[in-house]
Amino acid sequence: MDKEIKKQLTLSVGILILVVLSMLFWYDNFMFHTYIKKVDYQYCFSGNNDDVMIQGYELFQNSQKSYSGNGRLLSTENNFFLKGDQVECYMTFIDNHNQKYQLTHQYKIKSSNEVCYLSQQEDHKKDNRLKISQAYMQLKIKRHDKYIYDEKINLNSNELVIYNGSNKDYSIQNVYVNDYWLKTGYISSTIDNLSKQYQQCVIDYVCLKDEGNEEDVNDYDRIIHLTGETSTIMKNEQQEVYFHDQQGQLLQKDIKCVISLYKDENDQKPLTFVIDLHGIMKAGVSNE
Amino acid sequence: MNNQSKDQISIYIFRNFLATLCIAIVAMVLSLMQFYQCSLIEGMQRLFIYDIYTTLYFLLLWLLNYLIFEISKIIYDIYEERISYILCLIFLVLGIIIFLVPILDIFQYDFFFLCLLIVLRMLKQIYKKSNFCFLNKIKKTNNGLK
Repeated sequence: MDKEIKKQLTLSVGILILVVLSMLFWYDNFMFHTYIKKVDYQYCFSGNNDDVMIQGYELFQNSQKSYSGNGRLLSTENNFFLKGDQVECYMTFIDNHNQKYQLTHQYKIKSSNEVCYLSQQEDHKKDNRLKISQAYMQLKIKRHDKYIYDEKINLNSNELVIYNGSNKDYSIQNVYVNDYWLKTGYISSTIDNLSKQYQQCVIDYVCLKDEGNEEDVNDYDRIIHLTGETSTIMKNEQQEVYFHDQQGQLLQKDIKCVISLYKDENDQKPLTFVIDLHGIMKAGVSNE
Repeated sequence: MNNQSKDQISIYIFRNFLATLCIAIVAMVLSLMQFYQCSLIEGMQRLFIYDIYTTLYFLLLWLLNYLIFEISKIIYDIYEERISYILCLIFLVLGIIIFLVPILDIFQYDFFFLCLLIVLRMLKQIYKKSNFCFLNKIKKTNNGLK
């Protein structure tokens, strides 16, 4: 074998071994960051007429279960909702195969002009590639055992941006955001016995104020505060929702996650770090 | 080494970079599209934009492809006389058998396409060699006639 060729072969094999070892070393990290928990679909609907507005009504499905609900209903007129009123929402969704899905929500008004928050319901699993072509809500209000309001409101599916962020050991995925609404995502970690090391976990979703300084902690508004046992939070069973009622659009704002891990309830020096959230991919289909 | 051969070498290196890059992209995007049941565009976004760790691992995979290909070239040049169609067949079969090995699908796709690339190069070299021998035979015959 020629000396030159032998040298080339030795060098190539040497670098190959290094590359293979690097790939083996980083394999778990790669799997953690690349193959994440799937959400089959996530829709967020809104609609309004002259009297009422509905926002943030969700249809979503992860690999195990299908859910609907979570929206808020508010009136643009004063004294539209009075204490004691029974609000009934009959939701109809039609997919692109003309299959209809009908859902019902009821809400009892506890005080006049209240904002109605619809409950989340579990329903039967649907095709994970569900596409909604049409959606509307029949809103009925019963007062003193008599229907005083019965109107149809068309619903539009809002385009959502999927935010995510990670560092080497922690990852926040599937945070859905539109201009007025944010839904928390799933947190995961490469550390196996995290809940044994840190019993309590606090996750704050914060957004930078308009013309705020990114480096200044005081220039951030806390929009969602999640606290609880680390083992519960890491299961990601429940997501929280935030409605942005302030000026400006949520999609134009800088959103971060501040995670604090406490060894126990008396821990005065928690492990705190920040994960920047950024979004490129879209979800939610506009009505055809 | 004259300028022409230097240019040729640069072209070959660039061509090999490109081929191994394409293999790594196709393998990763196929895997992502299968896992997320998503479109090609979303697959490309998940590969290049979504997470830096995914992109860095993709670069390692590309480097791995390039090194394996270069080593196969060097070994081919050393044992050029013993290379035949049977070895090409063996590589093809290896490329298919890889799908039975329980490893991540990225590596299955990647090694399959890499085997194809190596086989293609071997076939090209065999074809070039047989053409060269044939042309030499014709030259000798012509010289004989003269």
